[in-house]
Amino acid sequence: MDNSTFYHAHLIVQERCKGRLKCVRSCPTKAIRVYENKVTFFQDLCVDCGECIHMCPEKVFVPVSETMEDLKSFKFHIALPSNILYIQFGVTVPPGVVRQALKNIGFNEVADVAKVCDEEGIALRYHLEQHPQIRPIISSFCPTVVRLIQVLYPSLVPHLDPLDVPREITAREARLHYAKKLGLKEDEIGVIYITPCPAKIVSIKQPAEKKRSWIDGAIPVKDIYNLILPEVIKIQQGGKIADLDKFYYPKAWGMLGHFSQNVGYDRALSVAGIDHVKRILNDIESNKLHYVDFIEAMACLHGCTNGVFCVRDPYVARHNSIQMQEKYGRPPNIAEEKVIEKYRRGFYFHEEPVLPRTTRDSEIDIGESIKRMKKKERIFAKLSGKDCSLCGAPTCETFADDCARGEAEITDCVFFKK
Amino acid sequence: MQDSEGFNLEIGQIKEALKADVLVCRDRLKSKVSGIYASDLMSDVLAYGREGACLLTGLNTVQAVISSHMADLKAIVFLRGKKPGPDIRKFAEEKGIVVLTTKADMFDACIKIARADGHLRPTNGIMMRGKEKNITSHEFFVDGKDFASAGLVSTGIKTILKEIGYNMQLIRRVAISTYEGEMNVVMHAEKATVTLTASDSEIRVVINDKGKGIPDIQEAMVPGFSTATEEQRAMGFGAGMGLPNMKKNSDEINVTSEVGKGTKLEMRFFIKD
Repeated sequence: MDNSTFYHAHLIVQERCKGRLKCVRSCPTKAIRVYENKVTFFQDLCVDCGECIHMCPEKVFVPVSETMEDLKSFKFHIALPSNILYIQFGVTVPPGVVRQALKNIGFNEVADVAKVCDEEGIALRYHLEQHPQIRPIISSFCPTVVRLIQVLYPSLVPHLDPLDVPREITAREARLHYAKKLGLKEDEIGVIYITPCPAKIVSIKQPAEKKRSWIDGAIPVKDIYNLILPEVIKIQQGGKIADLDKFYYPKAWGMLGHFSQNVGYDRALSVAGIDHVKRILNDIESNKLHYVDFIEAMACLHGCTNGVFCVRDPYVARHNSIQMQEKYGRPPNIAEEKVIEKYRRGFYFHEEPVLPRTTRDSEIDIGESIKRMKKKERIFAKLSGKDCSLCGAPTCETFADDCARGEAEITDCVFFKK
Repeated sequence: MQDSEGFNLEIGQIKEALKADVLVCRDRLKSKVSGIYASDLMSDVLAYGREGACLLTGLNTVQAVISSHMADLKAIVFLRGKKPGPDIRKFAEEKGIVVLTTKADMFDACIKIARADGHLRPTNGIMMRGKEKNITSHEFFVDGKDFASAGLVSTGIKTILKEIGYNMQLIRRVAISTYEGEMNVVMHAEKATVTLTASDSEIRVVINDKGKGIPDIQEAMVPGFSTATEEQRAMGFGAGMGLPNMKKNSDEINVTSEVGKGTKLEMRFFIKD
């Protein structure tokens, strides 16, 4: 597995592994193997969905993220929280308190993605009208879905919408704004995203659509939660704070359905959970869904509220979100013409096009590949077909494939051990 | 030396050439082998051993027999006088693999067999591997009126083609055409078999159904022509674009039909560089 050109936001701590094989079985792209008691994964196949981190009881997979200390070197710090952060606290904690708490732990400013989300909803509606020849257009919001398409569904890459994610655009605008306002260099400003999942860290470290992200680092929601909780309690007990009402609940795209709502429910189909997303992508490839305009696809069930870094149960988070929307929400106040004018001058677009990912099978000879496949089928026919995973591969089929590639030995199959 | 057309030795003749002893499956000496594969590396045997061949190896472990069984080899010759233990013999006997043992080493054994087969020519290397045809074939079944599982076959075919690694746009064309064909079966026929044949020069999908047949194929090819029922249309099918879509997406399409019996639809997709 010498394909180390792909960045992934998790490390493997081999010593913790008890060989339960939950990761092997749960990986949606069948990238993980436990051969010779060692957990390995195909770097090119991994789409950073976080299933392995979720499933492993021993925490063998450790997400790599930044801490506050790592990000102290900047002169001005901007926190860019995913709106998932606000709904971790519940309706009794107003968004203004969370923002103040972020400032108390050392951030100079707090930026929100909600405004760009609302704008992009309009921009995307306009984009759909401009490009009737591509149907359906698939959201490029979830980094895992983008990578899944790059790896397993490369023919659907042209279906990805070319609009950059709100966090990148917000980060870019905030960076430029404060650099100008404070007379600082752009790289003296640190924009730190507060992320619900490791996939977004990967998309910051190795963006699919640009050379360098506008965000400098990412801290998990749960780490920030632990840091600001004492501050939140302090502020709550300290009574009123100035212009608390100024801050409303920024409804963004973290939850399944919000994006569709921005684009228009009548035009969008929402799907979440990586297996379900794969099913829909399969249907798109067979041209089954040509009558749908837009697909909102998220790798985590329910959307980002189910990210690995969330504190609250996704159902509780959803409940909180609905309540907060009611209490602190405000209807978006955006001039449509302005958004369309910005769309026309390329304000929202990806800086570079997303391309299919080069995997281990990209440069192959069809003849050789058919030979290998026949070999695989011959081996597969002799296996038990129980998909027990005890060999270290997820299914008998993947094991047969590994054997045909010379990456596994047939004697690793327990049904052949004497 | 796995030239299936040129190779013409029985296991018994190999035994003679190597002055070998037969340990297991003495009753199979009349059986012909498709070639010889000599290696101590079992992953190579799995990867390159030809079906029906005879393995020459110095690896005296059960892995040799398991790998041979996996690769569908007919016989194993253990070299340099190695004699396999009872567990190996038992496994080979169960799987019907002939086991021989000889005093010759690997190089020696190869030459002796090559001489016996008349392969040894001064100007020609003896370890020529014959050309294996690179074709793979798969069969699927579709049930008529089963709207819930419509699309499973095209998804299955797509998975295989992706695994082989064809151009993505080509795979997409095959998937779309197969899905349309599958839908036609679901809507109009009782059942069908779908055969996928894939090689390095073309992909071929044949859908052979049992059903009412098409009375006028010319007419059926016209975009918009449809015999779908109101119910089917209500479900979003039957726009009369099935056959035209298949024609558009395939490089060659061939439809033959017999009214009251069924329809055979053959689609070919050529692989261009």
